[in-house]
Amino acid sequence: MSPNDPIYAYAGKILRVNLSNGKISEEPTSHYAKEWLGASGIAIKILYDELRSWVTPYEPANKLIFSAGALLGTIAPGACKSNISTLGPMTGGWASGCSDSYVGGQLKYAGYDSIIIEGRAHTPIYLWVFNDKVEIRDAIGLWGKTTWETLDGIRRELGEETLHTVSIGPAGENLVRGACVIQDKGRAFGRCGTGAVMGSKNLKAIVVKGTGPIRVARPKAFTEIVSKIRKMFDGLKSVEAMQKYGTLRGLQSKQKICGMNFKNFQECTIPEEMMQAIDPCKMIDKYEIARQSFPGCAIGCSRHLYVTEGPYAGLKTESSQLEALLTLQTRLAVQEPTFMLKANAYCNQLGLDLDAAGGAIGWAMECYQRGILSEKDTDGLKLNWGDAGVVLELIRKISYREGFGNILAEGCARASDLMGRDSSYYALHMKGQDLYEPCRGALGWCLGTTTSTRGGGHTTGAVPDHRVVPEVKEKVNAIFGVENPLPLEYEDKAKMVTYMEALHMVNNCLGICHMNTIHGDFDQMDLPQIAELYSAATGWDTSVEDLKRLAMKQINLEKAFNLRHTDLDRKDDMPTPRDLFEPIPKGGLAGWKIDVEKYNQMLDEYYDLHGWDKETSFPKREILAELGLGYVADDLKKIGKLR
Amino acid sequence: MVFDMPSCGGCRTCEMACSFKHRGEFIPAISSIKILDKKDGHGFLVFLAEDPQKQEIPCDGCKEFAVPMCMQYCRKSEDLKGILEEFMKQSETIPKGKERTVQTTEKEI
Repeated sequence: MSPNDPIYAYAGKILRVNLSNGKISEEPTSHYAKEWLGASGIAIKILYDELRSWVTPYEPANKLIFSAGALLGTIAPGACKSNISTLGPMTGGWASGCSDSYVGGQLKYAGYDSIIIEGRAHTPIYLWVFNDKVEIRDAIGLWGKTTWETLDGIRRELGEETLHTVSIGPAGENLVRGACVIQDKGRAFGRCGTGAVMGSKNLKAIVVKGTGPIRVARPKAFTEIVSKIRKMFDGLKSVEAMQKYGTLRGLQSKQKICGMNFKNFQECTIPEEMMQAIDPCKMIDKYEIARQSFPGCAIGCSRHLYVTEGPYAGLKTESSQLEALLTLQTRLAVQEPTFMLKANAYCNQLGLDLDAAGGAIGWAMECYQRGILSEKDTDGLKLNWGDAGVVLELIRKISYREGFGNILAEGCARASDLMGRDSSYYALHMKGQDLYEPCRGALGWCLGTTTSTRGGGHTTGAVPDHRVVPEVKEKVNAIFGVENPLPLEYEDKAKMVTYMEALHMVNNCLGICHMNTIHGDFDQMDLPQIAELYSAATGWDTSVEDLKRLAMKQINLEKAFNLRHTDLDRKDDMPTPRDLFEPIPKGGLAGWKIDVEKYNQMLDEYYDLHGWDKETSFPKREILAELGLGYVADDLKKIGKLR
Repeated sequence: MVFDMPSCGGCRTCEMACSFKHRGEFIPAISSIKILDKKDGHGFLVFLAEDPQKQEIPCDGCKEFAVPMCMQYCRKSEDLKGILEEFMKQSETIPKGKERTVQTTEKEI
């Protein structure tokens, strides 16, 4: 399309800011939008085209792209996600994370779909965007501050109490590989180390305010489809549970299918007495002071809490989701029920990803348990399971790269390489990034996690296996077009993951929260409704098949980006050795273990569905050409990675 | 006019919906309804515009619809309904320019 044609749903412009020379420019979103949907889709196209293969994550030549999903700024259900993508320090390849956000909507109202950050500022700065007024401002006074202090400081400095920020904390400033970016105080662009890249650019924060409009192409059709979708949520039991406890509602079903993480994945359930002690639902009810929801959300799943007793009395924070409980509290066997809230808040303040903290500390505690590490290695700390004080001290030491924390700040994969002593088996990671997902006993969840181009994660293809129970089998079969959907069935998992990949990718591009879709409940919205939404919003008639093709195109470009920057191949799409070779030790699935041969067949089928070579995992020319990525095939051929 | 809404989660979808009714586009800057942060306590404050001099378009209660736009997209629409009714009542009975204060129910913490 021509840059002069009207564009709907999108704001229409991409902002480019070079921090090395202060140059600020704009370009039309239409250059990308129709073929790359939005947010992470547009970001991978820009990063693939503009980053040379020799660029490394912390160089000024790397670029960091902050984007709002294509439907942000409208009332589309769940359209509240922004995205940050870059070349990341965890895997050395594609790094991309989404977060619920007010900032994304403000970016759209300011007239921009994305901000491309280039170069490196000579001294700490932050970026202030107010409509088309873009200002690089001094942040020396904010450097060293937590993300919470940064939000308050910027609001004070700019004289507006309602401004929203995305910022980094000390972890990002100190180039901790697992540093993340925090929206306001409680929402993280998690995983992948995007915060460290922001730190490498001396960029402390991005602040955006917009007062302009977002238009949709077919207003009547758009509001009708929005109303139709919102009605799908009425009366759903899961919605009621989500409104009360967020994703913590899934705790019991995770325990049932052995989807927990206890003592660094040594066990896949937690002891019953611990379950009783930490029951987060009781705690949340007790400490709630207010609800929290994000723009467009058809559910509203969070709460603000004020802890009034115990070791963390006085803490005011947004409630955590299930991930905080599993990746820190149960993984590290901490019994104090409010620890989840404290650890989550502390990581958010310091700008440290929860999984990066849990992965590295879990590895260290298991090494200590086995005598591989001693107090001589850990600055005198006794790394006993369940010691909440030690965990919080390690979170601090990681964020400031202090002493033993300097090793853990590299993430568990690199920390075990640095330490040696045969400790790598206990470093649970995917492609170099610390693993959160318990993979045994949930094959769709596992395959989606292990094949993810960003290095693990359950929001890029993982099937929500804990909800695929016999009672919903028919419904699930109809959605995915399969016959064997249950979590322990190897057949059909590749198909289900490929479907979820498309859904997740479309969600990430359009800014739709996964929990508003079949990821959260099989009765919620799915690709057909999203295709209707996108068509009405943009005026571009887009079918489910079109969305699937665009998602497949994006994943192929992410794959090619990884192949150019890393040596990842088929072996890196396999589960960790612990998941692959150890049986589930306790619980309802005790004794179950992955059948390696069948897992490999499942992976073969996944590669077939993507048009990738089974031996190497590299794409074939035919699929790239079919997707309009012939130039990518040429690039891969030059480096011997085309099949 | 400002009202307390302890059950509000702050999603601000009402702001988008309101502006869409007035302008046919999403532009919360001009919406009649604004969700304001509270320093402490349950929920949010709901501001309903009544002064045509300012940026916001005055709230007309969406009389042309069976259900006002903001309520159509609110998960706590019954509570918002009460606020709208009170607003319409006060708008009709209290002279413009006269200061209105609304008691909030901040939780003591």
